[in-house]
Amino acid sequence: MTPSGEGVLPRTRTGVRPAVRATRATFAAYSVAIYAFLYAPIAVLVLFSFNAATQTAVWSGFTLRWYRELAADEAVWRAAWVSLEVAVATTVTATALGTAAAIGLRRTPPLVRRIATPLLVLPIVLPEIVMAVALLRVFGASGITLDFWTIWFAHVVFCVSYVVIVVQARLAGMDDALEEAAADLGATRWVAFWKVTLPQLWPAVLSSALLVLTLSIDDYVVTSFVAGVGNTTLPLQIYAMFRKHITPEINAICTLLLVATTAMILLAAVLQRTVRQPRLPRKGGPR
Amino acid sequence: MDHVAPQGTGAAILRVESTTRRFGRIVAVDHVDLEIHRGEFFSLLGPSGCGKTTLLRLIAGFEPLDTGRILLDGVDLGPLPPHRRPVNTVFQHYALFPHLSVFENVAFGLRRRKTPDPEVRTRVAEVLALVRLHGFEGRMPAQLSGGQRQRVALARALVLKPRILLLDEPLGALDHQLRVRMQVELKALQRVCGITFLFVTHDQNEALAMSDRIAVLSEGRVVQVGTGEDIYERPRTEFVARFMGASNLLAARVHDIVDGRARVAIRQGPECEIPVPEAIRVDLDQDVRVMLRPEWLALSLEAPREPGWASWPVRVEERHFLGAFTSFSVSGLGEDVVELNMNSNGHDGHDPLDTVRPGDPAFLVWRSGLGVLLAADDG
Amino acid sequence: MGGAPAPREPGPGGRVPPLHPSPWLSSPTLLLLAAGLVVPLALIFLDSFRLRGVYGGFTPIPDLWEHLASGAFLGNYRRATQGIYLLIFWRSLWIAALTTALCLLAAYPVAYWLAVMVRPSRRPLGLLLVVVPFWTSFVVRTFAWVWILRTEGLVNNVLLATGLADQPLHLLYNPFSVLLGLVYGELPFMILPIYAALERLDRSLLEASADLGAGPLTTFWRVTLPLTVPGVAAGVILVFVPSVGQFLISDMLGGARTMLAGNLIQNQFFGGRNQPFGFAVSFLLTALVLLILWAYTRLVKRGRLEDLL
Repeated sequence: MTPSGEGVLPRTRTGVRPAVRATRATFAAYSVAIYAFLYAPIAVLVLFSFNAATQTAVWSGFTLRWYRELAADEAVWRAAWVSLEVAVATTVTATALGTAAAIGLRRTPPLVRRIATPLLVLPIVLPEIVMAVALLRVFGASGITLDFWTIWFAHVVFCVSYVVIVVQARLAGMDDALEEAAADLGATRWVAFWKVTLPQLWPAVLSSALLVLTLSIDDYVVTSFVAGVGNTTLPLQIYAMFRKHITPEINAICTLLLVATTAMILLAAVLQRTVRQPRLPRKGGPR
Repeated sequence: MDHVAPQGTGAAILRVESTTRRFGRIVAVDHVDLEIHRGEFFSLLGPSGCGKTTLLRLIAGFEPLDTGRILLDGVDLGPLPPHRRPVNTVFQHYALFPHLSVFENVAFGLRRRKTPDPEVRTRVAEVLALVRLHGFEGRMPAQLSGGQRQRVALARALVLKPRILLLDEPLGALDHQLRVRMQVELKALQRVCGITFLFVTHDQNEALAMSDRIAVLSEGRVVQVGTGEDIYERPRTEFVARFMGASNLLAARVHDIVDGRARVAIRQGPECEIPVPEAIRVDLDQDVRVMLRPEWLALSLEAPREPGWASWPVRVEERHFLGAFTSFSVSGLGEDVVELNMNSNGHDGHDPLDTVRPGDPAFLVWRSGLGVLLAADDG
Repeated sequence: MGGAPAPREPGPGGRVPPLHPSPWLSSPTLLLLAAGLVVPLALIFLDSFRLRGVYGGFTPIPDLWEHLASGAFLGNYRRATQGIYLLIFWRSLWIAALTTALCLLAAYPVAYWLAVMVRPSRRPLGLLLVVVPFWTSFVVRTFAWVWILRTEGLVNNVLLATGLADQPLHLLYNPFSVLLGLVYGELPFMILPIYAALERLDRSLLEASADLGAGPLTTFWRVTLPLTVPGVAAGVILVFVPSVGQFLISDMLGGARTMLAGNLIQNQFFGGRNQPFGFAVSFLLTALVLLILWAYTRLVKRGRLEDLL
């Protein structure tokens, strides 16, 4: 028996008392309802992206009109492209900086940690609007024009902490003895890092990169303050369309975004599975 | 529920009838029948995966039965959920509530019964004194050692005076010396309380040390039930023989059966006359096994001249001095190597066996009639 | 592998080479955060004591000493703590608290179901399904609720079509739609930490509780709940703090009538109103958030912010 109380044997539903079964069913029903709550708005959006009527949410026939309008809507595609560029730039920078920071902070004296920790926590607890306002002011005060790079800078600032946290968590769970073994076998600290630490760290680095990508693509508040003219990102564009004139074209954008995100998640899952298989040495010899 | 059982009256307090529990295709408990007597210390013994823990959990109510029933003092436990059964469990990893003090842990069950405060305090104090943890009331589980935690778990269950106490390998996590000490304490405790103990273990020495009776389980079935001596000296199957201790199993053939005794010829060995156990069916010319425990055998430089001894010439293969005794492996009897132990007796030069070395010839000697007959095709 | 020399013997300086990469690796990040957050925050803190200029910028201060001595420098803060603005802070806190409470009530059963009742092999899928909405755009999800609740929206259309209402209901642009949007957005952040705490719960403790005579409800109340308090606390903080300072949901779903702290601040910057005042309000909001966090760490008796992470 393992301490968690689950035997090594698989649990089956046979012979479970009716009272227990009823309780389980109630919980399951409730949870499914919550899941429905979480997904219903999204489902509705997607559904009505195919609706023929312009304004109302009354179903008046299937159409692909809004997708056609979307395809022709240059502003949206430009915004999507800008979002992607910013996101990729942010992800690369934030992941690199954050991973380096997490590794560097592994063995630090308490003094350094007492300074570093509040600094790292700040972007997470600070309200986004305050961060946005502060960044706007500092750009204005130093005469920096708001452009692509100000967006990138702002994004890295608020994303890097997440990378540090995720990677730090993974590092904390790693066995020091492995690096000591590497040193014992003749590896310098850089070799040990590349051959021992980094391979174990990959999942954390990747998942934090994915997190940064999401945060960056999705950001509205900070971006709206530091974007400047002509650098509209997708959230900004959607918001502008929402304020100006609500049409199902917005639904179409949302649907496509959803498809793109889901595809990315599936891709990540598939990649994870292929990466997981260790490559066995191809040697001959007795099995 | 507050009923303390009288000492070992021999009456059955728990009856397990044809009980089965399956997990998918695995049958963890396979039509088990068992009867446990009031006031006894009963052990379920077997290797990992034999179903002993599952059986315990069935009695406690944590697993539902697929077939059969379990009767406690004649009452079917089946429809009762665990919190309504008058049985209590000492868990393998103690399961002490980390957020409650020792006192509150022990008082937990009493509070569920709405026992008034003064009585709770009295009974908790009593039982903590019983397990020698007086003064530990205010400590938290995290502050206790493994042995102390184990005693709290025990106290917590005992304070409720269950009709039968279930213990799921409670000594497993303790180091060897502590374990042996706790075995003695547990046995004494059981005598004092008079509560029926149902103890699960995979350690045959532990079972032998503490139990009034033992049930040996394998692959979900009860293979043999009896006192420690029964099971050790007269195992019914090869599995039980091996599990209970070192054993030598020799192939033999039955030549004659007279009066409940069989005359068997050990292959590459002498003829012996040994009792036929009740549970085994033996026919003429049948292939069987004869089990001889190492401690029943002796080594001698000459063949014994008195009657009443069986002997066979062998060659010493190995010799290991193990302190209190020396273990020998010899060849020549049967098809395999035979193990035996000879007690050390000072090595002061008076024992000619002290000079026996690997490669030397010798005689294997044992009292005629010793040996346990086992079926040949047993697992 | 050839005979490897022990790399950890003292070098010429007599020091053993270190085992790990240099701590200096963290300096770029820390410098970035200092430049990107600390400096700007310091700047707006100073600016919060200035006065609003005619065209929305700043008025130069004629006499610094006078400005300080007379207490005029606190003008923005004094204004920000007046009745109408205090009300806005209060409303922000109140909505955040309600959001947290609703999230907690809604999330716990789901987390319990996933962590205790669902087969271990199916749990990752369940978690994934909770998280996936988070992966979709925040603006999109908030927009969805606008779509559903507006007068020409889904709910009203259904109500009108089925005859349950004669007129479209005004479901949008009030505190309830904001609450709905907040709960919807924050729910996964409450589910996950509670799930984590429940998953780690030693099942044998639940069995022991039953063994000792506690029924399912008692076991939950006396064993499960107390032992999942850290998870609940984490969820509460993860939901409450962002909710106090949020902007977008009250902007899209709340309308002018439900102005919360975030909206107040944003107002000062678009439409050229009062930047220094905006800075003052920002600082008050930040102070509020930090106060809440400090109180939380005190309560949980850990006393260190990094334990949150």
